[in-house]
Amino acid sequence: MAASGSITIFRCAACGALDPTPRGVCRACLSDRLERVAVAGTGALAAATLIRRPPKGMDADGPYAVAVVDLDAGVRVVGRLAHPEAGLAPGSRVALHGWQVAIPVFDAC
Amino acid sequence: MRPVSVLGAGSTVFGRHPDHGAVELAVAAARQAIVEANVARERIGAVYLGNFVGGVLTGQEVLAGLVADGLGLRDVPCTKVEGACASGGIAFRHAVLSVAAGLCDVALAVGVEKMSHAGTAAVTQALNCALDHAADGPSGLTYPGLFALLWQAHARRYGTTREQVSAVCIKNRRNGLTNPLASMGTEITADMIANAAMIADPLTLYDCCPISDGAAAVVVGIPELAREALADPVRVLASVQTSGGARIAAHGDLTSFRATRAAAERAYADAGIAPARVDFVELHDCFSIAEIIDSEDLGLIPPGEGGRWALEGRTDRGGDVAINPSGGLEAKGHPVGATGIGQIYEAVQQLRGRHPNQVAGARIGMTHNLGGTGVACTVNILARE
Repeated sequence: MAASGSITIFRCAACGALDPTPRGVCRACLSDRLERVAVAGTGALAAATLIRRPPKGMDADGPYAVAVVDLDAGVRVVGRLAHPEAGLAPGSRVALHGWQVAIPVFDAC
Repeated sequence: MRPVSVLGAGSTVFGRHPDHGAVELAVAAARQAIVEANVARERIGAVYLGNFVGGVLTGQEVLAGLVADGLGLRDVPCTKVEGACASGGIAFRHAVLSVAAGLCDVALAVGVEKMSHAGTAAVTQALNCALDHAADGPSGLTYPGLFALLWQAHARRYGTTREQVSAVCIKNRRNGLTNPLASMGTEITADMIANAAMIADPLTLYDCCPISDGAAAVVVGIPELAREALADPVRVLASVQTSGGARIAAHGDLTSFRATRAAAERAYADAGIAPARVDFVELHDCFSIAEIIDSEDLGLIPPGEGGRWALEGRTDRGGDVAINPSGGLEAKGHPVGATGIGQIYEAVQQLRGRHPNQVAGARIGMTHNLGGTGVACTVNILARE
């Protein structure tokens, strides 16, 4: 899938504001007319860290890298990195690599 | 609004209390505060209790009512408040507001948490209740992880180094050595910190505050009642609470917390003082990098210079502004709901001139309590009367 993958976010039909997660109303204008919209899964890595002590319930996943990504569409999402050992520096270009259940997984591009 | 004074303060040791439950700890701290305030219990017109994960980790709720009952208080409005790690600070502010608004002449604020019986993974999961589970929670982010992300962003923007952050760890744990309420004080070196177990890169074990039990309490009231108190009263110049970004998506450049900046700005205005007048601050160093970010957000140190100030000793007890002379969360531990009121306790002792780690000539002190992802914040400014 690589760079062609998309991520579904929400756009306010009234004012056009984007929101990465469903909240029922637009936080910019309080309209309740939110539409699902697919945006490119490409962006810049804001920061990433390797979680070596996961919370109970995610122990089996660890260690795993959590990444904050500023999508080119203009919203910030939190996901994981496919290859934490790559040591991606903040500012690196990344793209959606796949999904772990509902968690977007990014990789360098 | 009426002026408000702290009339009495109490605190348990912050650390492990395997033989005492949350209610016992809270009652012990509150008893100490009430005895010191020397007010008749009938005058206490409101109880606010800060607690975060009591329900999750111990299965015990209605703590506010249980604590009031344990203190023999009758027919009093008892309210538990929750704002993640800022729960204690929020309880204090509401007690202050009750008196300031004239609803009662005396109010009790208590904070308590019981955590050390649970394993690290269970505590991590409980603390994750303060993440937005519709946004950041599913990723597996943890609080050490969040502050690791902030550290990387701060380092990228300002060049903050491991050595600078370690200076915070060393100072706070050294301050804790001489504070009898801090059970995690110790002498550590930069090498020990750098070589300790990695928790969330680049945070190591020594960058994290320990899991603790504890309780703290204060009695606040109208200044006229201070004549009866057994210790010097302290005036509340400002008590501010703000909200902030709940999701990581809401945090601009990840090097600052909007809730802290807004609370500090309002607190300085309410108190009518400039930041330079603050002699010391007890701030929310849940992780070492948090102290650097908080000190900048509070306007005590210019943005980006927090690390340098720490390394140069300018935040030591005899420095430009003493930061966490008690040892802070890193040396005291972080019994979450108790922390905000524990900070008030430490500040009150400083302003009375009888803290074991006394800041010479301290007249004005600040406390800062930050919850979750910066979703809740309280800032208080206190002064010697």
